[in-house]
Amino acid sequence: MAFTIPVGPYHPALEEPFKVSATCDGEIMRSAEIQVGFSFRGIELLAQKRNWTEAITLVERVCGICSNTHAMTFCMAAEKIAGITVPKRAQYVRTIVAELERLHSHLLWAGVGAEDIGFHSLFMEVYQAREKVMDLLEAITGNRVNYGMNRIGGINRDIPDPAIHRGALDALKGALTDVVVPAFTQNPTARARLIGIGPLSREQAIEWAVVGPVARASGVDMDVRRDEPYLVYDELDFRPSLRNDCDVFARVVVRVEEMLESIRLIEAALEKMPAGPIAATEGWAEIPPGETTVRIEAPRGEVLYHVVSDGGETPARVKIRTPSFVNIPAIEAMVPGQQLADLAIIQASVDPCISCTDR
Amino acid sequence: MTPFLAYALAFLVWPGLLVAAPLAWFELWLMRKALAKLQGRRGPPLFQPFFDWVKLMGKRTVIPEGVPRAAFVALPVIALASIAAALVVMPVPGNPAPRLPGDVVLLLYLLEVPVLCEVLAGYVGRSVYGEVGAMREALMSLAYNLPFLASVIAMAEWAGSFDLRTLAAAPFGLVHVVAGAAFLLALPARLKSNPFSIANAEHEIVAGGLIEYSGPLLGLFELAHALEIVVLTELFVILFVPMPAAPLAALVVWVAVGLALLMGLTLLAATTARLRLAQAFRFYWVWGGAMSVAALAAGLAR
Amino acid sequence: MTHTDLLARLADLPGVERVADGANGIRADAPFLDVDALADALPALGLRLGTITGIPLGPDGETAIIYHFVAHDRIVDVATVTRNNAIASLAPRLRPASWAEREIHDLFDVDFLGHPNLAPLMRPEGYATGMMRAPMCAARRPAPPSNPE
Repeated sequence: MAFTIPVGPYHPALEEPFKVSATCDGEIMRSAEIQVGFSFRGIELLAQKRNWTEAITLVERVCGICSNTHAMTFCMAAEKIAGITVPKRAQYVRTIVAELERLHSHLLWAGVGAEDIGFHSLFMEVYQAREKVMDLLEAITGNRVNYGMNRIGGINRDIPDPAIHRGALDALKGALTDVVVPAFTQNPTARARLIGIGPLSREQAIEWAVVGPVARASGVDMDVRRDEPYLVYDELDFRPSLRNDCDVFARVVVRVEEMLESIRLIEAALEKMPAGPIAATEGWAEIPPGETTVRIEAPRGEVLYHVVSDGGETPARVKIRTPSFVNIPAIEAMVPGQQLADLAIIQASVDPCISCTDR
Repeated sequence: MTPFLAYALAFLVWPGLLVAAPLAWFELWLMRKALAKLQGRRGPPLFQPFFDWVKLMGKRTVIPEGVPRAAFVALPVIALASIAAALVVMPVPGNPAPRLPGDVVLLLYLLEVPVLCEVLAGYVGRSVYGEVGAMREALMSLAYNLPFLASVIAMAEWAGSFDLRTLAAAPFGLVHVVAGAAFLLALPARLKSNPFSIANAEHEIVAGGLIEYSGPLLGLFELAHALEIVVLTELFVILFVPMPAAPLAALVVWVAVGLALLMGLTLLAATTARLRLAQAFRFYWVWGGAMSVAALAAGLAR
Repeated sequence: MTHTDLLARLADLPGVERVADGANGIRADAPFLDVDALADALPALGLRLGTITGIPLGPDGETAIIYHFVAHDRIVDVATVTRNNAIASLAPRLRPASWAEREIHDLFDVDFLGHPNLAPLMRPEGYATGMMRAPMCAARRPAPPSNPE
């Protein structure tokens, strides 16, 4: 006898409001229907009512987890239209903050994933490790969320003494390799809940055009940091992860590998950072008429920004496409034939960010 | 003392509600504090489980529209009453209630009533989450009752009687170890604790069978659940742990075994994720089945 | 496929008038784009759909539609315009187009002909479609003329 169980908009498995209605036969799910838009704030309209510098602060607040991604991509788009070259040192600092953001985002996801398989203690451990990342972010940028590091033409704050952060990074690497990684990959009950769940074959991944760790876990080799390098990724010998197992466990492993790669990138960037100015321009930025499309690799996947300038004080159009906008619909492909108990971890495995999707 | 007065005293005071409820809250606090320490947190203060219960009792109860009122209100009362009645049957020192022949059977049935009440509560509440929770609870009880009942029946076979006091006094043998292990196997699922917290999995079905309950009615269900812990730990000690004659030594053994049980349950809950219903079911029918056979064999071997 | 090959194939698409390749990436302007022909050509072009942007050209006018495709290592924008605020839908052929078109329908009242499920995606209940057209057009503040006389 079929019944429909709603997960959302308010549900302990979700951090943000969206709705997945699963139609079930006993404990087996047959299909799912997804509804978003509960957090729609009209940010693309608001961006047209703020000047170019105010707009950075606005888009930073599209999402709390990937705030730096939005601010940085917007600045990169504006810099591309205006033909501004960002100084090397600023590129390095941007890379460091971007990778720190990837770390805190993946750790946040790991904790939520642990909760969704009922592993409350692992959630506590992961968040203790994440506090090390937040401390590092606060030491570098002055804030734990919404860092305000980016400006058009460079960054707002320098890292005067890169070497002092080395110890914190080592402690973080220890916490990851000693606690977080074994708990997910070797604990028998965790493995029993993750392996073989929520499959998305390579063909389906290409059909649904998913991006980020979800795509890389299904054997689709894409990562903007390698395909169309921006900032200084081509100087830091970046290596993307790739897995062919196509299930939730593969997505966990890809994110774990990305966390370790992020630590390596930050360490390399702190060491190789050249001296120099941290911004190309002084004062308010003037953006001539033009339009461009820019993409970068956010923690959840590829972010696309299309920015149009009329030459005026405010942007003429800011279009934001976040990775969750293409990854969340793919939940419908992962659900058929799966157990109801796994719905929580399946929808969590695409790392849905509703604030990003709804804007 | 008339039998009625004796039963009333046993039900309301000792080993019943008045003493068992604080004992239950203390045992809950022990488990929550230990779990917190394992997770690197401070944990709640001593009176927290009591405060939680008082808070619930003071809230307004909301009965959803279309729900049969009488059943909705009766179920938690029946659950609490039956678990308190189970406490009356326990052969603890100072229990004023008279001995009942065959009280093992009565105890087993009384222990099933709260489970039945929670299953019915899930269906009565008319919430789809409640229905899924009720179905899971019913299936899980089919799973864990195999080793649970087998362990008690094995002990009854060994002692040659269905009298709790006779079982408690039975000479120590291999059956105590094997049946005790089967009982322990069933314990986490009975108490809905990880990795078998399936019927009340928040991340899947929000609150399981009790989802529509709030206020005093939820308080009664929560108290019944807490008293279950007391009954089951007492039962384990009575059935499977040989008691020394001296009362002080017996008390020490009782406390030590109880503490070990609670800490073991907490450690298991802290180090595991939650299993799926099918996985738990298979686990209990394979491993529980094997242990049941072993326990019954040990019970029959004289 | 080489860069010049891609540019040539884009120029060959029915409706494409001009293909520009500059610092801001590849952009094909196609005011009378044949959407179905574009969908047919996509597998051979090796392009993945990133998203679709809608830009209202006036409170009651047409809407500029820009398809953002991603070749493996570069972005390809294909820009077109609606006719009577309608355009053929890519959704029956491409899954990622479904939500992108639903959003543009909600915000700018563009009718995507042939879309299997044009239900509200972002639009709150009680709001009419096209809720962003008037505000977005009103918010555009172009630069003042450089020689005010």
